Amino acid sequence: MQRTGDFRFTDISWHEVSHKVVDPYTTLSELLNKFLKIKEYGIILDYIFLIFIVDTATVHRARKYYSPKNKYLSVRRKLDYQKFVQANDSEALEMMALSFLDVIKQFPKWKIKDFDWQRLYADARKLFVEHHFIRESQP
Amino acid sequence: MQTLEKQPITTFISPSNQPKPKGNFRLLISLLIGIILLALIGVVIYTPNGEPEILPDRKKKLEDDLQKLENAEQYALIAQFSGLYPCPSCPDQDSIFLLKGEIWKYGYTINGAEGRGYSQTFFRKTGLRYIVQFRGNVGACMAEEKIKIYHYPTLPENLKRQTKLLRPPGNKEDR
Repeated sequence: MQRTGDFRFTDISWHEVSHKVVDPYTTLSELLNKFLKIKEYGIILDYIFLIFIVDTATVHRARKYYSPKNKYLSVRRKLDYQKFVQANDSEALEMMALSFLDVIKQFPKWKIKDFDWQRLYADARKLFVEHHFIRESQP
Repeated sequence: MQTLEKQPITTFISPSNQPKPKGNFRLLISLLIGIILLALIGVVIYTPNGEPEILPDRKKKLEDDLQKLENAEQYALIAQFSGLYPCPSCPDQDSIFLLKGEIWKYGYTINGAEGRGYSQTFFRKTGLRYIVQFRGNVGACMAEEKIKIYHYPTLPENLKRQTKLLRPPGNKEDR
């Protein structure tokens, strides 16, 4: 049950791929919630909520919402639909892991201050590499 | 200054002054004509042939709106986690235990999840997933939604329940 973790994920997806979407992000959130505590990187965030969009429709757009008052960051991320359809399980997991890391990299651009995003990025990346979600050589 | 002070005030506030209603009436008519003219100028343009046309931005909006009606989607909100979910369609309880992957609600929209009112907060709080099950014109999506709602009682996830539901937990009405 990840409804209350520091890293919470869900999806908006086309039914033909929806079965393929939920397992990788559940794996990701379980791993992140087991090993990382977001408060250790800054008290401005209680959790990060990420919605993966795996659909071709333009009506579902990427978006981010940061609430300093409620201390959470909510992000909608679009994954490349065609690439995702063709991906096997480990490639799907890799796409999501890289997408998550990319969200962390956006923190300075989104003006989320007083948060050690670089350390979170490094720790999450290390975890993903250790668990073979991504390759060491990947950016 | 003195002339202005003396003249109009006495004429205007006198109760026995008869032209007052007439003057107000004329003012009202003038105002109405003004508003109508302004409205006409503001909402219609004329082609070189003198044909009236709607404004280009309204034309574009109409095209976009019609396009949206052609690109609607029918969706299902499903449980991401096994646990308790609100149940507006339950006859005698406020919440229901859903297993991961079970249906909470069917719906259709022309504006996607966000346009339908499912904000990030909604997803964050509910723990639901949004699955697009069908895409087509709005009529076809409405039909798909209805078919799925009406057939919900026969789904295995509902059949196994002691108290079977007429509609999915999140569908209070057939709509």
